[in-house]
Amino acid sequence: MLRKTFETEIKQVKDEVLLLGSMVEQAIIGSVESLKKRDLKASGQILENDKAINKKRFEIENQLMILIATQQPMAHDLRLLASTMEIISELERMGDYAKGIANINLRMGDQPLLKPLIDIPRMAQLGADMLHRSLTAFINEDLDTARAIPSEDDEVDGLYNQVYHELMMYVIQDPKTIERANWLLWVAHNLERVADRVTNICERTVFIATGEMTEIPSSSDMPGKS
Amino acid sequence: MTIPSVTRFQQMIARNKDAVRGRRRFVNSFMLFLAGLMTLAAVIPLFWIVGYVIYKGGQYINLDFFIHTARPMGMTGGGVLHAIEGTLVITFLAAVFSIPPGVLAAFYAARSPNTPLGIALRFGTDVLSGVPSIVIGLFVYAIMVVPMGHYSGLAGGVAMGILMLPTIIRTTEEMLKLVPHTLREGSLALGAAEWKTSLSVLFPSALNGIITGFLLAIARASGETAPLLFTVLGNERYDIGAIIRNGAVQKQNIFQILGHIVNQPVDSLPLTLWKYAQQPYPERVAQSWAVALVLMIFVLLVNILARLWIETRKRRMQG
Amino acid sequence: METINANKVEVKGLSVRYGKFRALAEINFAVRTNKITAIIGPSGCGKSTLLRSFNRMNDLTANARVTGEILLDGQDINAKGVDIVDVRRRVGMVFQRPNPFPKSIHDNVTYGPRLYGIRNRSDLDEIVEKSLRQAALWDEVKDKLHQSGLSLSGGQQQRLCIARALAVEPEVILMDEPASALDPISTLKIEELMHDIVRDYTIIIVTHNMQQAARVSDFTAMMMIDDQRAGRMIEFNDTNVIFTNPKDKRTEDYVTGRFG
Repeated sequence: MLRKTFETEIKQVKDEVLLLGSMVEQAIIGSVESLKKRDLKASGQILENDKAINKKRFEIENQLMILIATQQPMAHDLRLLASTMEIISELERMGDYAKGIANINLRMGDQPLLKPLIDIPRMAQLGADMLHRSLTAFINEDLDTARAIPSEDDEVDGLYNQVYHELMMYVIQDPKTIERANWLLWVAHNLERVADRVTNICERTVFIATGEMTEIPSSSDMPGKS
Repeated sequence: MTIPSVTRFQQMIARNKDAVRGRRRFVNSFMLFLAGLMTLAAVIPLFWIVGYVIYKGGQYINLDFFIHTARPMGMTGGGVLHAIEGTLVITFLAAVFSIPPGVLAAFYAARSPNTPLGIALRFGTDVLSGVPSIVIGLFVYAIMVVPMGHYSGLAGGVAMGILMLPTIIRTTEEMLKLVPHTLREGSLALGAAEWKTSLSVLFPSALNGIITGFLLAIARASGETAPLLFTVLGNERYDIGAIIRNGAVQKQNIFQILGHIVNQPVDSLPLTLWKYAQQPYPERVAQSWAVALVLMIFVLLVNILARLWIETRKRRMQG
Repeated sequence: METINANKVEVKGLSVRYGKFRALAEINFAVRTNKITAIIGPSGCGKSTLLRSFNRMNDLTANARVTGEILLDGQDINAKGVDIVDVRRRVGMVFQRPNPFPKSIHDNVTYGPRLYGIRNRSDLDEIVEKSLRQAALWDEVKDKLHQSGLSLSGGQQQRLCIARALAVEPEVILMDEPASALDPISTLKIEELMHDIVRDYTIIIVTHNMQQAARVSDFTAMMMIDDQRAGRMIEFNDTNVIFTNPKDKRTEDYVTGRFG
């Protein structure tokens, strides 16, 4: 098998991407958990960990640059390396979303939650799970899974709408809650964006395998809905 | 950094390292010494011959030697101008008879080696190069001297030409083969025909080698006496200057004068050497040494001239 | 700009045999006018044989037989009665190793035009300057046109050979691995040159250097030998497609270096 060294290095990069992915998953779940439990210390830790996420992202990016410069990747290899650049960027953004949620927890400080969190943790769970499976599909170039995951974004969008309406109710009834409602809405928004970015990762996986870059439609793209 | 461990191979060679090194040095020096000795052995005869000829021949050389024809025994002075002129005429004729057909034949053989003609040419060349020169002389005697009724420089030139032909064909062919085939392809790709390619591209490229081949052929031929025995006879009164003067006086045209030059018995240096060395007069014997020296100088000059030509061509090619 | 023939050269069912051995089998493709087409493939796949078919240089091999058609502007160059000298004027060739003639730079370039009867000195001088300029060599040699062509460096010699080919104003230029014997800088100069002259010529280049094919060509043809060791064209497409998303797995394996 020719290009064994190259293959090994590609595998190493993929492993690193999985590692970055699990760091981000933990950040997402952890940030919402610590919000639910009002654990300010944990949120502080999430902020610290974000630095590690950024650092890892740039390490992987550097490794990719070296591979592109030294290995003259063509066709599939080229699509893989270029797409991996994209994907780690998406992951880093997702890490930022988790950081944003942790920040909100810290900002809320001593104030109690507006309501017990049910939908929001569910959104986080779904998002993290979608992320995990999309990265596995990326590593294995599993086209079918990659094409199927984006439709799960519908559920996340649905939950977001629910959260939105619920919070609106609170604000209408008691305008003084607007600040806390806003924060919670922002958390939900971040989690909704996480799911969207997972869709991008899936599209990239399809591109690597087929060479075609197409948007995989989810119902949020349909006009009139949401 | 780890300290390199001694490998198994290194262990194996460590056992006899010193002995091996010593033996290697000794064998090396011995071989070098042997080679030097052999070189000396090969070179000594060369220097010995040259030195001896210079010594014995130099005693008799003076300017007169080159500008006068022979004087009968008993008179002082005299030279070998006749022989020099004869040698030049014969060599020139030999070149005319051998180079054009030889080079053209070699071109044909290099281009189409597998045709019947090409195979015949190669076979014929090999055979001809093995024919003893005296046989060639006899052959030319039979086909030219006898029908013509007299000996002549022309016959001598033909004999020499036949002698030189195989060498010229062979070296030209070898030189043509050395020309990279890409040169030929480059010319053909521009739309040139085969003959034009051979003439304009292949021939100039191979020219240095062809000149060398001609040189080799002359070197072989100019020392040959046997073929001349039956063809030119020898002519102590041969004097081109006189022929030309005579012709001018008698208002002969250029062809008639040329005819006189070639169509009579001539002399040549090796022939003269052969004759003089056998004569009972010590003066003649001494002269034969001088002729040997002149012959050597002649061949040396031809060599130097051609090498100069090749060097200037090379320098011009390299820019 | 209107081109009369969008396809300068069309190959239809081309097969080349040397005696019993079939070197090329059923080649079909078209070369677009004023574009650079690259032919790539592993060693021995028949790239050079295919290239040499375009100017009938395979005729030089004794037992070569060509079947099929090669249409130059719609006319088959292998047809009976075709003037092979005219074909070779219209389809020029640059070889792998620079092969300048042992003549002066000036005489190298005028060799071709002289074959076609051009004798006037000022005409020839004009051709020499034009060709050397096109080959990006004029500035380097304009003061030493009478020096031998062999006195130039390797890269310069190759550009001299290009000038020599351009001097007879061909329509198609065939390049057989033109930079494989040269250093990287000379290679890039020749690639630049190709880009500059392709406006006026159609170029077909054989190269085993994939990066070069990717850099330089508009279209790429991928060749490979089949089980009978005959060369076949397995894919032909835009260069961008061949190198980012080839359709045939064999092409993919080759361009990614997985082909053993």
